[in-house]
Amino acid sequence: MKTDEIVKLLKESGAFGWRITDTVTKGWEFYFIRHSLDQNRSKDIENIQITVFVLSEDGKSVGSATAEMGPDETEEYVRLTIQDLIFQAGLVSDAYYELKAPSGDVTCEDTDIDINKISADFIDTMKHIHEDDVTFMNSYEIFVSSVKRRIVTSTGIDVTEKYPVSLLETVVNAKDQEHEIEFYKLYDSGTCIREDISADLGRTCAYGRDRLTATGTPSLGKCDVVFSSEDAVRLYEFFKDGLDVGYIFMKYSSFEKGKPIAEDVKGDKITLKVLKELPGSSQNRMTDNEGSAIRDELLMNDNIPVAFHGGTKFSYYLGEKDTFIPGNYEVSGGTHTREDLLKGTVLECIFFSDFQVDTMSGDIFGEIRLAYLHGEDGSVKPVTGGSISGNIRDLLKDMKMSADRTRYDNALIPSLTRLAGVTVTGAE
Amino acid sequence: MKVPFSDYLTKIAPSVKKVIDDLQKDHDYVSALCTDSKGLMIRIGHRSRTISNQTMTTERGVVFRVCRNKKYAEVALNTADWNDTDVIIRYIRDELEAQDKMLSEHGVEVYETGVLDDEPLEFFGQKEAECLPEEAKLEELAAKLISISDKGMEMGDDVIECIARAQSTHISKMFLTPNRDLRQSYVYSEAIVAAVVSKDCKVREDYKSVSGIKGPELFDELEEVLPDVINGAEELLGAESIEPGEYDIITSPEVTGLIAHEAFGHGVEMDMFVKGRALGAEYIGKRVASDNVTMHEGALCAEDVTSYFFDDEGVMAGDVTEIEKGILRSGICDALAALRLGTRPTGNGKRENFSHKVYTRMTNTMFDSGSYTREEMIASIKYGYLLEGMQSGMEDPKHWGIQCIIQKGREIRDGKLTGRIVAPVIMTGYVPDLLGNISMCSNDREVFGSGGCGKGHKEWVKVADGGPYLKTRGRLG
Repeated sequence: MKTDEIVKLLKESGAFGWRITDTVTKGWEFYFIRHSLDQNRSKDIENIQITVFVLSEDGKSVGSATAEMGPDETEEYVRLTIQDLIFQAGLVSDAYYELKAPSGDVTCEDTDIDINKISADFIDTMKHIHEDDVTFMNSYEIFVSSVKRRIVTSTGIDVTEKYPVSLLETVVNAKDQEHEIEFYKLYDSGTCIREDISADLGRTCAYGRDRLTATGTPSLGKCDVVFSSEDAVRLYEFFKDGLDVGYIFMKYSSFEKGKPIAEDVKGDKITLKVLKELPGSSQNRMTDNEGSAIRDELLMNDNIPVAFHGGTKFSYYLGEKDTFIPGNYEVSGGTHTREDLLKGTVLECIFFSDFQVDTMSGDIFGEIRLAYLHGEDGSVKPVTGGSISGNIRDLLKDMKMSADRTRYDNALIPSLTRLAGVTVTGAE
Repeated sequence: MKVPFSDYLTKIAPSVKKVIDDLQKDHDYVSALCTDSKGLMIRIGHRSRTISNQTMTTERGVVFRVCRNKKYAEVALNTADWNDTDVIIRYIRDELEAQDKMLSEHGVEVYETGVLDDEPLEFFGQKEAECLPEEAKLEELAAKLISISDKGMEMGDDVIECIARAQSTHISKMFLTPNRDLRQSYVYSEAIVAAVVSKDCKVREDYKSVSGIKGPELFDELEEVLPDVINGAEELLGAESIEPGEYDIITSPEVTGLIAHEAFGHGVEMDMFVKGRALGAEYIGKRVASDNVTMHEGALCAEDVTSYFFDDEGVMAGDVTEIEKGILRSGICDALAALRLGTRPTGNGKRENFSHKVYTRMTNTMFDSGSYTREEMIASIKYGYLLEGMQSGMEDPKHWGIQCIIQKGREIRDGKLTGRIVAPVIMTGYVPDLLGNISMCSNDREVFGSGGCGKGHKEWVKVADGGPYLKTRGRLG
């Protein structure tokens, strides 16, 4: 069924509120082993998601139920599904909240997205990556999509956006006579940004060479650690998630407006702003997935929350008006140079097996695949193995950031972040 | 009852076959995987509740795979009008032609691969379930989950949220080629109870899960785990940090499963052999673990969330002995990787859903049991930890590194649990060392199917893993 026909059925249903999200994805995919094509794929997929909201008889609670369906369902099926959703929503009531009305002036252009050309750009970029006898592309996968999303709600929102979404997965190998190692890289973006990919893969090849000569990470006990790669994004997500109305309402986050997020801070303070547009990001949208307009907004200024972000329900509960679910964000740079941050004994972590920050507990952990141990005497030694651990709630009190910044997909963050007192478990 | 097969798939089968017949005229191989899987998900928290028909594996669509001139390509769609197969055929041909033209213009070379087997085979399999997700009594189910959540909130002073989440999926899949017609239907379900506790600005979470190749009747088992979840979460508030170092450890079946999955699950996915990404390729027939270790992988080696009859490439499910008494015997393999390696597929070709590519993926990955009791194993340790609960894991198949994030460690001193808890625990190390030091395995085993597994950081599929308690040495931080 077409969206407009579903809208008609929903209007007739008597539901308190409803939202339809109709997403059409046309995608091309190319899989390579070294530079030979493993296989090529094409997809044309439409998903229609219907959410129905039901008000309780006493008017004190609202329940919601969601169903997803393909485009080929019959009118009878959709009508029955809507009836089911109304019944189901009544079983899972939450405290009363109101759905959002259209916000801001949202004008969406019908952009022409050429997935053929974007795919060709990726293929060409990968073909021209510098390789040699030591470092090479083991394999890569290219995903390019044109997504058209329409959101219609009972409150009058009706927005249609079209945007590109791309993903490049690469495995970079380095080998010498004794052994061979690999690094895994994932690049999310809107379209193909050739220069960024080439530069980053060039750096990855250099890291690969160093990894071949790396020795086991020594047991350093509590040590200063610098994050100078994409893993730093996980650290800043702790702050972004902590400003989410859902986290605050559920008491997972103790951030309060106007109150510093930590006392006795010795290092740099965080200023975090969400952005509607960040050039190159895969998350550039006019509206969020509830149809609310996205805009630039300062959320935290020098460690003090000034605004929150998030979805309709929890925003209503917290009395937050005009919120939205952001895609992009930036963290202002700190006060330090690269040289300052790599002074003294410090472990500069480049690759982890899987660096994680639990944004609820604040725990951080990661097994080290490549790090550089900077010594007091200015020496730099590549190391591997072992792990780091700690808790960001404690570590943020002595966090130093570089003035220069780097973009990783939807996050623009300080290029280097230094934390003091991280536990380093050695591999030796 | 036998789980019914999708009426929708039965209805579109003749049209799909028509498309296959047409594509077969100028292709060396053609197949279609058709899916129609319905689901149910209810999530009840103290402050937020939702209900939906979506789970990780609900889907409806068709993917065509073709091979011509030793090159494979696929077209996935759910937008088709199956009454007009000419339009579908034209669309598929246009897409393939446009891609080939672009690839040719850029001088792309093809990784040449032979033609997949298409020996005649017909199969129709239905598993048993007491109830289907689409027929579940939702009022009773929602009330049950609300009761669990409410009880959980009352069970501990520091509990700020108790979530009960239940999901069930009715899978129907049909695999068609010119010579094959395979159809299967089954239901799997999973549920968790999670408690979030908070004290003195510390926030901690613990959870327990149940899973099985059952309908929503599985959810009756959920309430039993509630006390353990609440106690487990509250214990975490008092947990201390571990002193980094190497310790004697006992892994609980859940942590054992995580090790199985990361160590010789990903490590022997043979599409990684094709790319030269797995060290395991060089160790077939060689020792990789102690004599005490035997490991199996396959949809047939346990009954849990991923115990299907055939995989997404139409290969019947298997049970592979990966490690036998410490010797690496075999990996697991999808059909295309098998063709490239000159071996046989093992029934491990899986897609995230119909619109995603097939990779070699795990199903049930299990360590075999041993002969000791858990108590005997604890009694054998002078100083070490009993590791419980898994958060996540990551492997390095090229270098056999492993990272396991574990919920907590219980201190063992002089053969007894002291009551001291450390958390969280990160276990890292070299897989052959970790498995080579396994000295005791318990005489029981459990399987866990509530998690998902990615290939790299994408392509999420359902998997199950488990085993007995294991005693080994591990580096903890």
